[in-house]
Amino acid sequence: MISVNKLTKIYRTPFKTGNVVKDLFARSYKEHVALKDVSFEIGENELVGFIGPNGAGKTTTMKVLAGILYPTSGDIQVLGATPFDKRPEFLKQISFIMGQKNQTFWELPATDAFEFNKAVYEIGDEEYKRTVGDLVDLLDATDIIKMPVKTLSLGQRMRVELIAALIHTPKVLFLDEPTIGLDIVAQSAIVKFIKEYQEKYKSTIMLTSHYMQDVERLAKRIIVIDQGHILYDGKLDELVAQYSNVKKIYVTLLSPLPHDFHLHDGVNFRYEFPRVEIDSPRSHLSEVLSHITKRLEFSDISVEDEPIEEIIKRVFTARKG
Amino acid sequence: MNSFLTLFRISLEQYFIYRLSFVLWRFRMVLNFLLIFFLWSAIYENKVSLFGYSRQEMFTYILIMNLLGALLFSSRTGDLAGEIRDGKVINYIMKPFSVLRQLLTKEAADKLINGSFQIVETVSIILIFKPPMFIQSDPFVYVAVLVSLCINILISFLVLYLLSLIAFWTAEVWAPRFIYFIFISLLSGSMYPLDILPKSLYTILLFTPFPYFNYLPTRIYLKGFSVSLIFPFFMSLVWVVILYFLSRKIWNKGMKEFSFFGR
Repeated sequence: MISVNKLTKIYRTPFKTGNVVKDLFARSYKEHVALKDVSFEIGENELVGFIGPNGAGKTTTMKVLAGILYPTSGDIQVLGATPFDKRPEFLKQISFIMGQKNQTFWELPATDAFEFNKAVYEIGDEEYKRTVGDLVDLLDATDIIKMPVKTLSLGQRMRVELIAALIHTPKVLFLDEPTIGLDIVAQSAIVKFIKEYQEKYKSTIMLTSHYMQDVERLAKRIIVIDQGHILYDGKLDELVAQYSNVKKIYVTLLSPLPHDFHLHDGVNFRYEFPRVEIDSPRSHLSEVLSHITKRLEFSDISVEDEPIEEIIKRVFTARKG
Repeated sequence: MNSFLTLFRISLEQYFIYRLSFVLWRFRMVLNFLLIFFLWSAIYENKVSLFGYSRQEMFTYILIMNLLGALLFSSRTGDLAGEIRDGKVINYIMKPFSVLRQLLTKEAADKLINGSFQIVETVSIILIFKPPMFIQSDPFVYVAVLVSLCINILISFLVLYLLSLIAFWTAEVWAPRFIYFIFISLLSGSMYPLDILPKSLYTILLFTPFPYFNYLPTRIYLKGFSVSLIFPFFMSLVWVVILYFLSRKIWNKGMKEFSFFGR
């Protein structure tokens, strides 16, 4: 469905030398390697999350795949087409949704944008009615689609934006920061929708997000990218198993920690009464737990996986070093 | 066809949202015209003919120039520059409906609105000030005016479109546009008929796109379609072809080079 082979993208950005005449007539350029020899394949009905810091190359990758950016080199096939050609048959099967740039008409109700897309994507009346009906139900958007877009909240605007972008039920969907700036409730509504949409329409989805939670909840497979290189490509749980060999134990104490309290060698803990936070290696988990129950008086104890953010941070530092 | 009609309707609806700013814009256009109108009234005070134009022809000239100006220079292409800068243009690129066609559709809606207001304003000015008017009786001339006007609308659109494409390379898109409009007001004949200029200067001008906005059709209306107008007519067609290929080339170059970096 999507195949990327040795994709490299180099940006040329004008560079100011300080000499006005030279800057104007003979610009110097600085080259910035945004992506270097990136290769991967994505199959039908997969949902892949892209993870990486700002400027890592996540959005650049998606923009090349959608045909917005021209690749410096490499072989890219999406739905059997070369994306940059932007042939109508290709464009009709994809959608690129940006959290920050809306396609709905600011002053008008979202339904105007729906109707425009209906015409542009040549969708029949029946199909249009059915799809919009479905999407409106999934997003609970019956009332907001009739209001001028400018009167909607950020979360509502993202909902109508999604409907506008999905009217032609694309086979491949690129979501660039779909939850940016949204509050928890709006964010989880969008995430829930993406999940349901993918199940219902069997589409292939690529997603970038700064919120690890979004990716965690949606993507079984993730691609971790930094400075234009892929650091990890695989299942999310395997990443956790590979990079996280500690479990977090949180203890709420009833009385202060004894001065002579210590754990196995190499087991770190942080303490601030009444809370103790212990990083226990998986291999020593039962010993550490029994030691705690023997030595300490507590009102609460919990054992959790490391937060995914921590693990990702470790992937970045491990691969860089 | 359906895409055109839907976008055309939406563009019209957008206009009626900002009624006040539109009315003020039209008010400015009327004042602008009255200035030129009174200027020529003063010049023709007690005179029958000047620079080969009778009083009647001159007033007809400026009225028609102004009427056609609304169709030629009202434009939505300025929006495109901003949308290229902030990356919003991606939304248009991703549709199976070319950006040029989307823009032409919006442009048509814009010209319909501005043109209709201009007709009402022009008729009101004629009724209020009762300037002497020349009425062309040859129906062929009206056809020639219409053909020339259509060609010139394309020229005007393509030049403004090209000026917006500068946004692919620099943020300073308004300065070239502003300078362009200064040239237009001086060289397109908006204030005076171009053929009152010295012959050599006039001939040079015929090679530039400037006479092919409102000057040529107005001139055809007034003096009919004579042999001397074949060359300018031909040149206007040459400019459409040149500008069309240039704009395609520059658009493709912009699409290839532009990074939308961080946008």
